Amino acid sequence: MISVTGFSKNYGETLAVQDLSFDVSGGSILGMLGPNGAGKTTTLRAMAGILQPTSGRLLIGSHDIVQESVAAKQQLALVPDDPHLFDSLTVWEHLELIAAAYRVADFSAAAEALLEQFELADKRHTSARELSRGMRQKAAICCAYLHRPAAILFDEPMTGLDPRGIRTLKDSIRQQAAGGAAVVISSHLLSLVEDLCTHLLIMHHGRQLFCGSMEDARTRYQALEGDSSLEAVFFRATES
Amino acid sequence: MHTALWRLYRLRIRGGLRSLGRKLKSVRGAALVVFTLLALGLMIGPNLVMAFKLNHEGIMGASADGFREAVPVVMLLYVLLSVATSLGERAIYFSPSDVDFLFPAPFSRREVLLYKILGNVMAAISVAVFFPPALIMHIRSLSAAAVGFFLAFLMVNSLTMCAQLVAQSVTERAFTRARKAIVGAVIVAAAVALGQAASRGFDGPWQQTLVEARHSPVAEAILAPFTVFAKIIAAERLVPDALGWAALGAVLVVGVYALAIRPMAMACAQTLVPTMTVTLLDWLVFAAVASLVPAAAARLFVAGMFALPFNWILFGTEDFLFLLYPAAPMATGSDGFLKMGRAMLFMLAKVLMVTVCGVVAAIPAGVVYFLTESVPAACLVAWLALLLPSLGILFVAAWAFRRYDVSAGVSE
Repeated sequence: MISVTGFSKNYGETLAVQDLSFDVSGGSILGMLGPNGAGKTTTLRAMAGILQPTSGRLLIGSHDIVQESVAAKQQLALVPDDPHLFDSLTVWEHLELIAAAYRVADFSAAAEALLEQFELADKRHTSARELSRGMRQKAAICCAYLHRPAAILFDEPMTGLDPRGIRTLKDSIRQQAAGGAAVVISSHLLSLVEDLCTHLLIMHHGRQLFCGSMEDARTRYQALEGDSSLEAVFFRATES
Repeated sequence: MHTALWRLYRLRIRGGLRSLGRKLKSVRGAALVVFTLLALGLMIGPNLVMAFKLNHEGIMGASADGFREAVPVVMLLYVLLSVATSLGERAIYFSPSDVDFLFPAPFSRREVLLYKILGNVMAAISVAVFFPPALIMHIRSLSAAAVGFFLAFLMVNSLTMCAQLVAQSVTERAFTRARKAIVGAVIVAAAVALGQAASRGFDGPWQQTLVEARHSPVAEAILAPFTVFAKIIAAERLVPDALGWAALGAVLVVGVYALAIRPMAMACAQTLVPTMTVTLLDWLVFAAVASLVPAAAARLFVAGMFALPFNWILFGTEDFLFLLYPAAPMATGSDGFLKMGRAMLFMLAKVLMVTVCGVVAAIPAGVVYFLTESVPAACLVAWLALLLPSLGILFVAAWAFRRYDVSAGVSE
């Protein structure tokens, strides 16, 4: 569903990402790990069509995000780190906008269900400027799910969520993957990645250190003491 | 444009009104709204009363002629000021919510750009509503003035936007050079206009000289695009007096906005602006020399004729090379050394390009001269032959612009 081949991105003379390649099939959850500045957000934003790649191909479905951006983005949803909503619009109006953008017919029932699931039903007519950080995050997640995307990109999705919200989001991510969506999660929360992800991509200084299943990662980076936790895997990968 | 973007407009207007209504419920908010309305009333009210009185006496719009003279000058000064001070700013500002919601959504970049441009239409509508009553002493028809102000606002906005887009897609040094050239050209033009006025004598007061300078051929030519909007604003009636001018104004506005959307038009504008500016300067210098040395007039005329395609090829090549290999010009240390090498290579490429084009033009010109022994005919053929590579450069620059990534290379 998601295929990234030879992706590189430069900001002027600065190399943000270099020659990144990975695939995420439908039903898989890929966790992107890496220290600050590893290029995770840049990769997600390029996959979402916000940034143009300097080189390489990024396919969503079978559509190139640069050449066939509208068709590619039709299948995609992005939940950014600290999502910015339109201040004057209510939660419901955001869902109305997304339904119009992705041409979702009869979106009301699906939107109601999402608002219930994320405990936003009583905030549907509240404007975005009056929402807390966590509520804005939940509203962005509802918007992302509304059009049933085939590929979902999360950038630090748990930031600002309360424990119940975190549990709801985790469950919903599993549901989306079970429904056939390809999910990519960029996070510093190793426990979240360990708990949810089927595959792992470790990045450092814009380069790909590892890409494969969680089991493969544990096998490759297993510590001498036999510690195969994701934390041990991450530090062995990035400090070796 | 995508229907969702129209819906977003509607939702944002509704949201804005809802927010205003909510603010009215608080004492502070209500006081602010009342104060704003009072201030606006004080600005517009006396004008309206006076206008009705004057209209009753049949002398409304008595100062419309003077106002019509001033509008093009004000518009030109506004655009020049914006161009002179806009370096480093974004041509079109995208808010974080635009980036988070509109960029990943299934809209083409052109649709998102159009959405932002149409936002200017909303601002233009408010200008069209506010300005005519506030300036009623200087207009003859409310409806014509409203249309005129609406189009004039869009015109200066689109010109400023285009200048800023050009600034973002050429090197800072090139833009600074172009700005200097534009300001220089305007100063020279103003001097020529004043000179033309002065040649008729300084008998009248200095205001009279300024008025005559305003009506000199050079000033009339420079202000011509803006005069269209002044004619609409000061028209007696919208229909039929200002209808033709309004149509022309709308075409101008749409044309300038199109420059910002279509790569081919953008490439054309990017090359045309510096080319025309430098060519005008060339012509002014040639004219000055010709007036001093009349014997050289014919040769200078030929040089002036070739200045246009020569500058076009030079700037077109520079744009193309920059779009292919963008880089910030200012650098120090080893980076600066590399940039110097890069600049030399670019210079070499430009010289090579001009030489190749010169050969392309010289071959048919030589054949024509051999057959006819006519220098004017050979020059004309050479000039026409230069059109081919000039057009070619435009196409490759448009191609380079399409693949150009604004985040690359120029932000240092």
